[in-house]
Amino acid sequence: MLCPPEPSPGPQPLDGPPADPPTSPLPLGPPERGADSSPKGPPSPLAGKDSSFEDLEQFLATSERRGQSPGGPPEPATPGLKEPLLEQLRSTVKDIHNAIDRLLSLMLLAFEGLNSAVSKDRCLACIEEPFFSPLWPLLLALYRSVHRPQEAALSRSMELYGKAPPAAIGIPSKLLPQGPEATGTGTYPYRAAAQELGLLVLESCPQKKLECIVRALRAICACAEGYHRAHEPAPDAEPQPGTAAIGADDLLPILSFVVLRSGLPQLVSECAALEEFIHEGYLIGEEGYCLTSLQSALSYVELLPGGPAHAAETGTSCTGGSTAFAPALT
Amino acid sequence: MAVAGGGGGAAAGRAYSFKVVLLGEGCVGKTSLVLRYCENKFNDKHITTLQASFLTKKLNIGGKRVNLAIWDTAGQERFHALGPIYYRDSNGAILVYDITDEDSFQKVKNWVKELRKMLGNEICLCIVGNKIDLEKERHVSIQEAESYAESVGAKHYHTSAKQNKGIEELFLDLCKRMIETAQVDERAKGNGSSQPGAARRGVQIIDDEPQGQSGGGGCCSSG
Repeated sequence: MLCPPEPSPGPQPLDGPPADPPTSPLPLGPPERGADSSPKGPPSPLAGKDSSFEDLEQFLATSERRGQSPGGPPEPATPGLKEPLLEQLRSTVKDIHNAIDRLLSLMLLAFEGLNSAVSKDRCLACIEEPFFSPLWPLLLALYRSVHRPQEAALSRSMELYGKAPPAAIGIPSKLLPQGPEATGTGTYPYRAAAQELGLLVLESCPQKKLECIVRALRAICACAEGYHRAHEPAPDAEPQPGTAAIGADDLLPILSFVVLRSGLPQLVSECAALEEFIHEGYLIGEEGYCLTSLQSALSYVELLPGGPAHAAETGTSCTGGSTAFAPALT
Repeated sequence: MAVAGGGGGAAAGRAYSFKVVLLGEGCVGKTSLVLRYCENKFNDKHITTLQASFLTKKLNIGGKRVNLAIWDTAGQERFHALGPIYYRDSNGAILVYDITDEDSFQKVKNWVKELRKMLGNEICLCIVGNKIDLEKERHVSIQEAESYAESVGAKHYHTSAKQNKGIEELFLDLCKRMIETAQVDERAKGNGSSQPGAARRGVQIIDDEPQGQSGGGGCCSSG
């Protein structure tokens, strides 16, 4: 088992007395955590960690039981029901961040040489897979209970628009195939991207999931370029680099179409969890852009106008949002 | 990897990482604008696999290394509500309008309001009148645009993506302003008034200097 070493023995780590951490900057995760990493905090980090996972399992068991008896109304009123879930999620998220911080600290205590920005990133990358793989299914279940209204709205939209032609989602015809691929029964445009999203839900390591999202968006760009080229069989020399390059104006409608075809409402929960746990350095880069775009497409799809049943179902969760920008479905 | 490169000493050897969002209605030419900027004459393989949606550029300004990440956003009205998740944590915003299209200038005004509301004064705003090659068809007066920009603390630029005019200047100036803002930020932090909210912002300056590991204290207290 992992056990924090005694602080007393001989060579102290370079990092000064253990009393100063709350003020020391650590380039990880949200700042609120600083508050409870004070030395007078939880008596034993490991006990804290174990019990929080037990809590999570216990919580999942009870929420399943609750789900199995749909007849009887749950004890608290609807707003009260959401609160404990959110609270549970928040504290679980915090526990996970703390656990990762501790693992990182242990690695740095064990190997002083790792104490550089680059090495820390490496350490975190190494921790990630063994740490998250067993945890992700449980964590996702928790995220899914919290995001149940969004998932319901998404699957509703997927039902209503899952077979809608790409032009209905606002994809211009120059970015669509003309040939058999356009009308073929077994396939649809941008299928490669939807397949990548399908792989995402099979992975259990955040980094690998993120890679699936990046590959999905790259697939969109590659397909778009291919379709565009096919429209303009430019006989005059090389096509100018960048003339077929699509910007967000095209990317988002295509991504929304891909989301609809994927038929995976749980993507909204996956993305929420990824946003929380991927390395902060990725948020500004290509990976962050891809995640943000997928989240945007998901909320766009979620808010597509539905039938009256849709309004009743999601009326509580999206406060007035759906009327604010009724999408222009032509 | 987008993490700012580590640097040794106090002032030298750092790399700034800035996030810049690109806003503008459908046909104002924002895609051409960034493609122009990023298709560098020394290296025409600058266009990433995400094409014009997400572009990066490395610069060296007065010895300071800058990594620029340019985030394009969808200009269509129906995606407007999704804006905030794109521009959170941005260091700069480029708001593009078409000088021949009064409507696109009104849209810019809406975005300015929204950005100021959500991100306050820390974000560097650039209002860009594109398509100055179509000067004859101008529908937005220079004076109106410039005085509006001044009134909201933004800077105004004239560009032509078609003729490759004004684009280098626009980005260079924006980078300088973002560096200044980041330095003011750093100084404020140095004075001990560090805001916890800043930890998730785009600028990260990572020193290689050994520093305390937070969480270490909690770890060792069990002994």
